[in-house]
Amino acid sequence: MADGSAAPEIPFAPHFNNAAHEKRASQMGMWLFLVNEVMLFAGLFTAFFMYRFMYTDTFRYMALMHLDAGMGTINTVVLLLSSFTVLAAVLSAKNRKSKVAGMWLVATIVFAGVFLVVKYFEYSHKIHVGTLPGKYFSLDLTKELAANATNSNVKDAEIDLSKVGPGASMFFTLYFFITGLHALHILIGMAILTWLAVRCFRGEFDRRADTAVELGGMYWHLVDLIWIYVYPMLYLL
Amino acid sequence: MSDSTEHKHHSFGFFFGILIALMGLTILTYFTARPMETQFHISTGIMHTPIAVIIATVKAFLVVWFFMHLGEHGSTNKVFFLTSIFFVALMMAFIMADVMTRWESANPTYPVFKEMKGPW
Repeated sequence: MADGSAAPEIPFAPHFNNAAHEKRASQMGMWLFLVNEVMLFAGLFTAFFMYRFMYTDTFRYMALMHLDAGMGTINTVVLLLSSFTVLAAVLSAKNRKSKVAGMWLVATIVFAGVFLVVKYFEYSHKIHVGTLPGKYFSLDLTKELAANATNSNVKDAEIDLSKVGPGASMFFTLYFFITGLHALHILIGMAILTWLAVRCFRGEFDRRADTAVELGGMYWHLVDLIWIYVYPMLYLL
Repeated sequence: MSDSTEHKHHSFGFFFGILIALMGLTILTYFTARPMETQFHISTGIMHTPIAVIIATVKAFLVVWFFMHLGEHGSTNKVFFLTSIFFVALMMAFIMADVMTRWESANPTYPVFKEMKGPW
């Protein structure tokens, strides 16, 4: 039984009644941590919505003309795939197939790497054209707006170009802060998954509770969950 | 208490179906939010933002409920997560209620940083 309650060979700490009890406690602790993560990003999302309301045309223009929705979509697909592979790792660990779980974790780490490479190309382009946060914002917006006066995409999106300008640097402050904090979570996730993969390849989860893999997987799903909201918020709206 | 963990078991194929659904929703949200960039022209007009938020929420539900197994976890964990969603909604609702009811002139139209060049 995958539950673990009826399997006496799974070790557990002495202050728990049984292995299932220990696992439930761990899951609850993990959810408490993940809830904190949700609140952390929610503050940034609220700041984004607030400034987007204040400078609607600027934010819509910047999202349309300076963020690559194609790259954002590719990264969404990559993260969804990585979420699936980490789930497969959790299921394998639960079925006491430690080495198979390790292979799935390696696949997850590869997808995470692909995500960061795409992110690198996005960041380097932005640094190159000068769309940076705060006082480092150096894009010649006057020239660009004149060039885009008849752009059909801007016209179709019904953006008022006369209102584009104020809040431009704030858009990129929020863009870099939100995606940067998310990328930091990806890096931490990669470190955790690497540690878990090493333990999987040692065959540890053939003989003990798979709680570590499950909680690592939950963290990775949360990183995916945050991106599910970041993607439409920054790239599409 | 004893039945609160993992009493339901979904197959690998079931989760693959969820993955396909998530992919489909990603493609749908792209085409509904960026009609001007595609040849499909699914024009959503004023429903633009609500559609994107609803699709993201459906995707988030699929990830939390099935991939993170919240559906199989105990009710305490469900309460934790729903509480966080409630407080996020509370924070956003009250802050937006403030910002959206201000006079237009209360929002700065001048550069916040003195070093910044240009008309903005």
